[in-house]
Amino acid sequence: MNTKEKFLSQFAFSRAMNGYIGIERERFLKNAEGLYMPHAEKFLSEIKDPHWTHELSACQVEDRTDPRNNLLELKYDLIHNTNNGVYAAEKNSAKIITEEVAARDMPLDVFPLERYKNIVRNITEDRLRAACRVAGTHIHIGVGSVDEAIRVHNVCAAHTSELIHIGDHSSGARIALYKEMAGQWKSPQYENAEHFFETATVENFSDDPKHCYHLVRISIHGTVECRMFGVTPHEDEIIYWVEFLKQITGGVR
Amino acid sequence: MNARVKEKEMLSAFHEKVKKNIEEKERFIRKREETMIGLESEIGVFDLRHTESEMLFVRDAIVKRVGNEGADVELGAFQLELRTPPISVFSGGGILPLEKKYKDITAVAVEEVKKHDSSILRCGTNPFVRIHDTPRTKKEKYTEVPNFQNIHRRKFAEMHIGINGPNVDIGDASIVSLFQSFQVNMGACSLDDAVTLLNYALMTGPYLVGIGGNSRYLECTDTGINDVRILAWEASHDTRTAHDVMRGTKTRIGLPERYFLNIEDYFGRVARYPFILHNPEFAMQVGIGLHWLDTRIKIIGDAAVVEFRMLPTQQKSADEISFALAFIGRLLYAVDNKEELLPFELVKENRLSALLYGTRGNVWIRDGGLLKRVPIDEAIEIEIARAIQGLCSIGIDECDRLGEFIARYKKNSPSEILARALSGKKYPEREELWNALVSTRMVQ
Repeated sequence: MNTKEKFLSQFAFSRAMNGYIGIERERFLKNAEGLYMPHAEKFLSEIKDPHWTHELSACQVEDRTDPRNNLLELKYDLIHNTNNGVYAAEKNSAKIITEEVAARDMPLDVFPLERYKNIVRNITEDRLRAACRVAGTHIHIGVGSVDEAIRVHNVCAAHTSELIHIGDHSSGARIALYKEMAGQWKSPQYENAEHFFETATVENFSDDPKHCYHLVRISIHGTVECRMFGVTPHEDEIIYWVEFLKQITGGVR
Repeated sequence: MNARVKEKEMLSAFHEKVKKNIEEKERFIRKREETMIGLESEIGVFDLRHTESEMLFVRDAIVKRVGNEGADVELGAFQLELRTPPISVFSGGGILPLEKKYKDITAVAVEEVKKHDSSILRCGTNPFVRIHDTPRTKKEKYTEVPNFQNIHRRKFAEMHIGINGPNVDIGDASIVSLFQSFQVNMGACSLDDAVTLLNYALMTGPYLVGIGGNSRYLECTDTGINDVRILAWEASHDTRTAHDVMRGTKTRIGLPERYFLNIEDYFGRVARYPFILHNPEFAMQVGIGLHWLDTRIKIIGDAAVVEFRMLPTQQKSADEISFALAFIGRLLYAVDNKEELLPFELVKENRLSALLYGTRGNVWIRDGGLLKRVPIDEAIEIEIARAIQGLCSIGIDECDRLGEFIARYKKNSPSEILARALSGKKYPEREELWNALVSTRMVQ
């Protein structure tokens, strides 16, 4: 059994990063014929860029921006990562595809990592398929303390339906699959740090907060992470989501 | 007549004028040597010792002295535009007649301002003037257009700008009255040629603004941005709906969504945005006039003119001439070599890199058939070599001038020089900023 202090020590809250925004963007790899390519490993060895990383599905890759305190540089990072990715993919005759829900018959190859192999061993094929088929955009909001994290988390959680709506391009298909994959997807309203710890204990993510799959979660990076947004080729749309989040969380910072 | 009816009337008049011009496209055709070049530069009349009404008086005195052919007022109450008439450059006379005219007009303006013991501000922003409710020139268009933008601004749009720590509130469309640009107007050989030149200008403009950035300070605050002018313009004039953003629609400022396919495509984009002003007889001019792309096509009589608007005013008119030469030569090179356009997504990145980071930025460039991402000083060397080649193809040899120019500019944009003169201070006092502008010759 974890203690509350030990649990909270896993979160790297930082006053210096308060209000910074970081974005993770998942996309698929396809070939010229439009077939999914489980070539994430090959892609990552080609691009050699720490801003690009793997996902559970070997057909997916993810890029990350640096944490930014202004939207212009955030937009620049989004554009730059995409361009870098597109040209690295081209070298392997692949394309980076912005698709919110992949076809049901996509390959279920998993990126060769022990953590992912463990996940696969413990879930049904339907859940694996759901996990592989969805791609999303995750927005991280930097917070300075657990109390601030809870305030920002609760505001975002209260706006979940609205946030799902503005980030949806698949008529709800992505979010339905996400819920199927995640099981516990609904973000509670935390009363305080104690309640956050109790929830983590009950839902089995106190040892490893990465196992929390709520649509809004407090992440170990010291951020509140909003995971309900789908994918878009338009950077301005992602910036709009960030502006929306800044608007709703502005009063509790 | 209500606003919707007025807009409908303007749109219909716009389409009519466009149709007529396209039907008569033969009248725009001419040889390259018959096309002309014109220059425009916006400058500020400003002096810390003077009141607003005194500066307004001096501004008007300059416009009167230079005359309507060479000067006009602008949106900002302390701002004016100096401009040359279109002058032939490609028919054997070279750049000298244009250069002489431009320098003469500038000299008259400086002489007049000195007569009034005032100063001219030659940089891309006036960092002393307030952004909200800034004094505007009293003209209908200078009231209605910014008011429209303020009323229809996109919900939740970020209205603070800065990458260096300090943020400046830019939530008033009148902010453009603080901005000053240097514009090159290049006559085209036809409507098709105008579209070709426009696309090449969208592609190559970022390299030039990377080294020519000269608008970093707003309201005595260092935004940290090499050239904040266009970015602040875009943000303060963003009237898109959430649905527009979701569909990838851009504003009418800066870069369009993609390269233009043809002249119909260009005019079609102009027509997508509200005209705001009601003047059906001049519907085409109004539409184009409010379409503030980095480069745009204007129709002036029988001439299709490509207007490059991306550069801020520079501290020396001689350097502005060098930028004009670089721009013209680079476009001629692209046309002569039927150059393949850089993928538009790379142009987007280059542009933002140049505007944000200036000479510290990296950009994509095609070199020897290969795409590569290099520091901007490396890219600009390649670009200027191409410009020199383009100028040589029409018998203009400006190799030495552009060589000297690029050696000075490639490591330091004017913005970076000014920031150094202020020792990186984020909130300089007015006097400190003034002294730095004087020492860098941005105040004359």
